[in-house]
Amino acid sequence: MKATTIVDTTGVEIRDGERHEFPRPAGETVNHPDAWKLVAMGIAKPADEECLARCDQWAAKRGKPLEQCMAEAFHAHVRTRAGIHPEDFEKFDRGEITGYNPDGSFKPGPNAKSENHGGIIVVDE
Amino acid sequence: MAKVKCKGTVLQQDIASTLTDIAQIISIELPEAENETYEADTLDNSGAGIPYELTGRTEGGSVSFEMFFDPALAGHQEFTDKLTTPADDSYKIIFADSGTTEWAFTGSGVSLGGTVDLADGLKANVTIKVDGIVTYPT
Repeated sequence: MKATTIVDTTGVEIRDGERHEFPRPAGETVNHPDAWKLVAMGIAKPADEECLARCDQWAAKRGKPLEQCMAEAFHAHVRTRAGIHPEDFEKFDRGEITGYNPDGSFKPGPNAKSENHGGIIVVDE
Repeated sequence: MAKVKCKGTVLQQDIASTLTDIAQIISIELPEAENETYEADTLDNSGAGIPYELTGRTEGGSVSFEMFFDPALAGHQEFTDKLTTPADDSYKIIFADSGTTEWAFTGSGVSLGGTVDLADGLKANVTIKVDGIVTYPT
């Protein structure tokens, strides 16, 4: 089963009891029995019929078109990659924040409406 | 020297030989790794203290985390899959410090439990046994 990565990732294998990491850039095709899971995780797209069929099953279970499921999975990946805490998911989804500054305050997103301090959004009355 | 914030920390797991981020984690407990020692007291020890010696081995400990659990999410199903089909796997913790310091480790077995509470979201607690020792940065 094959899937092609759409973001830069890190490949990993355990050989002879040793852990080996290697760069897996966007556009690389992964041939693995679980490759469809990379699509479900939002970091790859199906690259053969077998993977596409398994991804269609996954989308059917969710009751949505595959393209929508993949778009939602990619959004979730970006959110997780940014390390967004579950309590801030809604702010991220609304585009109010994109992540956290070193001091813990929010990095403002395109829809940021207000100044924020120390993780608390302060709304001007 | 810096106080590193916890928000932004990522735990990754191996899916299809690719490190992928685990979603919806609330907190992570780092492994309590410990040098193995043995009690080395002798009858002719005149001191009150109990001496210990190193065996040269280190217990790697376990990594535990709590997450809002989505039983339909592929990344979360990976843990229930590991219960039905046990296998060693690779993991990595990426801290939210300026250098995005990484702790990589191999997991040898997982445990998974959870909480269904009227007043809270569905949560799961996962523990991963560290095989050997975490690859700590030096």
